[in-house]
Amino acid sequence: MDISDKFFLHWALKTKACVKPRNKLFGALQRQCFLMEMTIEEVKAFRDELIAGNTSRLKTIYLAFKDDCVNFLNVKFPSANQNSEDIFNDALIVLHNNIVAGKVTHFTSVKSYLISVCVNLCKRNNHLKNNFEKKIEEIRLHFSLFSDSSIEEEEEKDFMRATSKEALTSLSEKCQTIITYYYLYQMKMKEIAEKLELSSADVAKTLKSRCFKSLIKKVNELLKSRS
Amino acid sequence: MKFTDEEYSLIQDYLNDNLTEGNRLRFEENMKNEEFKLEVVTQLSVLGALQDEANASLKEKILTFETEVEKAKETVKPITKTKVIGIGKYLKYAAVLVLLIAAVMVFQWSSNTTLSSDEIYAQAYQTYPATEIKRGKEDEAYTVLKSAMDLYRNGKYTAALTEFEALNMNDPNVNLYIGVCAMETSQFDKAKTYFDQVKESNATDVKQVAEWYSVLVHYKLQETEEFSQGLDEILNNKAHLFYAKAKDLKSTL
Repeated sequence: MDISDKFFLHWALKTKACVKPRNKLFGALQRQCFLMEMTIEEVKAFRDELIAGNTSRLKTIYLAFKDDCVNFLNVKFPSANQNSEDIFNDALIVLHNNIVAGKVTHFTSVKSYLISVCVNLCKRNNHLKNNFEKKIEEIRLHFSLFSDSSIEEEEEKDFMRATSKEALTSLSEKCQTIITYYYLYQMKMKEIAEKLELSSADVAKTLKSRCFKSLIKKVNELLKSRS
Repeated sequence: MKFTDEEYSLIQDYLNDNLTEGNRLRFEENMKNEEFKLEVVTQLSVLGALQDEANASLKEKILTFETEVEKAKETVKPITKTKVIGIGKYLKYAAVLVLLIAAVMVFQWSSNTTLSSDEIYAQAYQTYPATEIKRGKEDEAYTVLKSAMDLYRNGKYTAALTEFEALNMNDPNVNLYIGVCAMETSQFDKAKTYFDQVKESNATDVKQVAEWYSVLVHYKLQETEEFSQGLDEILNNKAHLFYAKAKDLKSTL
């Protein structure tokens, strides 16, 4: 039994949840309980693991709730049948991002949370949008930005993704980490300073500004060279 | 266009949803400038792209959860099958081993059933029971006979033999007891002599008892010819008192 199994069983025992074996081959991994609670400490530990790139607990949650969430979506949103697994995967990404960003401090039921996210994604036509995309839409709406066709937009997005990735990887490892922590994980400067062993949050802020300017500069250079 | 720190800070605050009401107005004013607007969109696009990339990487990882489960299922199944085959093999070996052990045990058991001559003798031999001797006259001989019978009854065959012999009665019954006492004390030659005397008497029942004991004495003395002859004589007489015993002895041999 690995640590994620122990974690899951701890939950199951703690909540006196209904545990039923799904598959004899996978025992604890395939068990499921109807109510999975996570305390503040547990979410904190989960967050630390996710920031460190450890997804074992996420895997446990995936295995525990995938079938139920997909079945729920298939019943409630028959039109989303083909994408229900995709929606569940997106819900898991939302869960990951919200935990990492500190938007979730505890769960009374992880399963209920995932189902709610799945429902919201379904209502938004199964599309997982990040905050930056939402802001671009906002700018497009309020400041009459260019309006491309969706195909061109998709191509542009792919191009931008490749360029941005290339630009980010061209930076120092510290810059990559600080940008990821600040912009993607939405971590506070104080925490970033602690994690990166910097003397203060101000130092981290200065470093972040320099790194981000370098990133944008690099992206612009790449865009110029490719256009 | 080179942006001032203040303009840069406005964009950062916008990205992080940290705009104050005053800064929001300043931000909206700056957005009228196309270059500023382009810079904001570029920064948002870059961050959006990085977030997409991160989500895509995470999604790839999530998809591996399923494939890991599928792979595990695939690998577990053959292992289970192999285990079954392995167990099957072991079961075969175990079965062979059990058969071997059983064969050895049967052999040992059958060996055990092949009784030794002593065991055959012990199985066939039974001490002749002590009977009550009734005599009308309670003389000295009667007293000795009674004492000898008491000794015989109590398993004191040596003492009983001495007392029976001291009687010197030449009585078939007494001679039979002397013969049995001799057998009990492993004096088979003496026993043979006394049984022969009984056999020559006319007392039919006691005679048949002596015949049986004589057969056993011949067996013990390994007098094969006399033994076979005496046994066959008993077996030829189904009415013989020891016919069943003789039959058992023959089958045991």
